[in-house]
Amino acid sequence: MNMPDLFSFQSPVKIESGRRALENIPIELARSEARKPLVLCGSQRDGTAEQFAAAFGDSGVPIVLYEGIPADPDFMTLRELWGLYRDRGCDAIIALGGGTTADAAKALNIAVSGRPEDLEQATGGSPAAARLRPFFYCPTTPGDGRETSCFARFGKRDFSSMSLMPNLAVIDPRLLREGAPGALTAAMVEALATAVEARLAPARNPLSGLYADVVIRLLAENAAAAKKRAAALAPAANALCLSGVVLSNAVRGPASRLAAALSAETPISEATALAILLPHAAAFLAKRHPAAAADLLLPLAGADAFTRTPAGERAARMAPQLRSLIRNLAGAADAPPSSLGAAAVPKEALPAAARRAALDASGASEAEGLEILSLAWTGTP
Amino acid sequence: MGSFRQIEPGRKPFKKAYVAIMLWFVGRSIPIAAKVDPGIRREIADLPDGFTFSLGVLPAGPAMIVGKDASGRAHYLGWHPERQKVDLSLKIRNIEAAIGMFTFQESTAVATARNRLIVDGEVPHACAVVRILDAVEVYLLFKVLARLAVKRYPDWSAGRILWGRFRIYLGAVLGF
Repeated sequence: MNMPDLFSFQSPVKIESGRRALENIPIELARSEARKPLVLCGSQRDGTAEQFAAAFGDSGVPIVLYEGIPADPDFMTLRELWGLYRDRGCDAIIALGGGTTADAAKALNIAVSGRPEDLEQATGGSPAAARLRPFFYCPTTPGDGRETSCFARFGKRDFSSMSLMPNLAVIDPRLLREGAPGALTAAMVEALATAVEARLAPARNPLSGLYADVVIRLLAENAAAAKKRAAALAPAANALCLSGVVLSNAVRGPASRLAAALSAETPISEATALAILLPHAAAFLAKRHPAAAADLLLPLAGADAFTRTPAGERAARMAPQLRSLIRNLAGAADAPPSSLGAAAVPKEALPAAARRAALDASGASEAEGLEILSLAWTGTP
Repeated sequence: MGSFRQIEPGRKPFKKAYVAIMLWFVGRSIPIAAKVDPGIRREIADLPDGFTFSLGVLPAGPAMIVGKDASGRAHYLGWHPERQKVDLSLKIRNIEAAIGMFTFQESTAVATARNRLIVDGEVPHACAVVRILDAVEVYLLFKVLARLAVKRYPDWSAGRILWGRFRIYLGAVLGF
């Protein structure tokens, strides 16, 4: 393993994953010296909240359950939650749901660890309070990996601090749902993109790399199961959870930034753009870092295929393998278009997207971004 | 605007009672098994004199405590670990995990591997206690259940198991 001159890695996220994992929450609360959590969940009436509450049976721990976190919570909602947390004597926060619920829980944690004004006055960046209250995350629907990361978005404000990462992520198969059509595929591609770009980043971090390898293997080895969506939920939830840790310790790569820029400039969704762009960006990065690209074939293709491939061909085989994996993850129903052109992205929009992505300091220049976009537009491997 | 409700934790009296009976029976069986089985007797002999261990369920029981006196004999010491000094405490993390173990859906070894047990004490002593529990379960349970409960079913003669089972059941129920 090549050791960089300097790297840092932090992950406070403990993961409880598997059968009856929910029942471990009360003891984990006790370890965090919390006695009464405020549980935030969406407005779905599918029995998730009841199943969650039943797991506290015989634990002696009461919960305050708030149902109906809106898709775009505002400061009024936050003040209501802050009042509820204070008046009911809560001392921990549990997000039960997906990305929106996790973001609201993180914002609430900033508010209850200091004052609600801290959040309103903050213009983004790091929260004022360095030590936040215990925060647990229980996924129910596929998110985008940011849930376990150090990032939070509230309204138009973005926050970033390692203290925003959940102390515990509980992945219990009984709670997992497929969510909206296409959400699971988008989540898996998002996790894959985070992991692949962390492995191919110029400043590679060996520990992030190990986490990234696990994310890729979880997705690659369960790609066949992805056709039966229910069987893919638990591996996908674990991959997403770990990808949040990778995201917190790595710089976003060109595929993620170009996809975000393209969706801002054109009607294409970020998830579709990412699924098209990722293999092209990976092929581009493989030319810069052939050794890392060759290593990446191992988690993508598995040990047998890796050892069968001559060492000199591994870097070149990586991007096609990645493209094939994305197709397998998506299945027939959610298969991404073969190119940006086929997805009806106007060619004239590419320079603006490349410019926007380069402004985000993605590590790839505007010209390089445009090169990736142009290849993805024609679909040239 | 959403809605909120405070939910008090429910109770699981039947599951708790089932686990309490199982722990009571296993706890009372260990001293008898130590008289009957040379392997269990050796394991008990290797523990320090005055050593006590408990197996219980978090957060508030049920539990069982077994101790070894100065003469080297094992005794069942009741179900209140908070009332006495305990050298080794094995805590099952919640009642559902205990049900999984005591309905033999998970063996002790599998439950430990799945982090369902918290050990507070010396690891070699914990390993000895798990071996004792495994051997006791072989005596207490029919083979079809015991194979689910223990890591490896031993190659003992049928006579040894049946005679030991008779002695242990008699001793555990009647208290001698």
